[in-house]
Amino acid sequence: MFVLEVILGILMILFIVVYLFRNPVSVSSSRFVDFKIQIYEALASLDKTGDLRKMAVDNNVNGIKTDLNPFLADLLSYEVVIYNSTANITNYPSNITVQNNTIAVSYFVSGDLGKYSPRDIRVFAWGFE
Amino acid sequence: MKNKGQIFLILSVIIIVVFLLLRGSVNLPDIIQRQKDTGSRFEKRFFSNTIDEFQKAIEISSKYDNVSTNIFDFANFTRQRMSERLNDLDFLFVATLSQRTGTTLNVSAINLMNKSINLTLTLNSTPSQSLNMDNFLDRTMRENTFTIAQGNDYTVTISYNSTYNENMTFITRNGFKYYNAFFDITLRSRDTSYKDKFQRTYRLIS
Repeated sequence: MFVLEVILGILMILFIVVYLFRNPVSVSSSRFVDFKIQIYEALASLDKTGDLRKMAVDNNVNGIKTDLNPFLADLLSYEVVIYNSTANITNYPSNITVQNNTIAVSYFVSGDLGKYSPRDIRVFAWGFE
Repeated sequence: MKNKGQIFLILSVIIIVVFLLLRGSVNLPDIIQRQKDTGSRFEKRFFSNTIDEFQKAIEISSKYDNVSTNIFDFANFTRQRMSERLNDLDFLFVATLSQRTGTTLNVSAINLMNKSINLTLTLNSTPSQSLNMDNFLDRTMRENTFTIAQGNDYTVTISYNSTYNENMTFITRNGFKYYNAFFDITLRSRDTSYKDKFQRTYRLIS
């Protein structure tokens, strides 16, 4: 009987622990969102100059990375990948690791100056705690 | 010692009560709401980028005659890219194109509402003209024509599923090529949704 009651007690505690903490509360997620907004605003700033569209349509990832540098270099490690509707059309760098502290920000452009050519410019960033 | 098992069970219940009290002291709904609000701060920017880009797609295409085809392609592109991020797009689009001369008004409609709809377009000409697009499938575009007289102002009434009525007003002028677009866009993410309806007129240079 004693063993049965011990097992029952442990199962009750385990059940409650799993039930209560199945959705862990993360208070640091607002920091991730702040970084995402910072990346988005950087992309929007480049878009206002007209450079972002041209580079995206030309699949010029290095140009976008260089132009993002003044906005992001001090804060994050990042890579840029350009997608069409179905897949990435520029190289997916091997140093992008999909893990909990990697964020991704998408910015759509439909083309540039008389050239319809939709692109999803995706910035992957990590290296913040 | 005979009741050692029961004591263990009582201890378990006390531990559970302590867990419940600890968890209750954290204002979980408040934290979840704050997380949602935080997430939506970013989503709103992303949605704004998406809606702006639909309009830019028209401006970019304004030298060409295939404006609606590009909008259809961009809507599919947007939905595809958004679905990878577990976001979704509902999109209804109606456009009219009046040529510089002649009596033909080209009409195009795009359905990406995630369902089939029955769409009716009615032009307030004399006599009025109607286009019935029954069983208008999701992810499809339909094109048709109305007959107009150059120089007049018109209204197209857009109605679907007997519950939805929107008016799109536009002008026609001899020598000018006008593209009138009506957008109904809903963007959804886990944390928020954004709906916008608007109409724009573009002068094409093609």
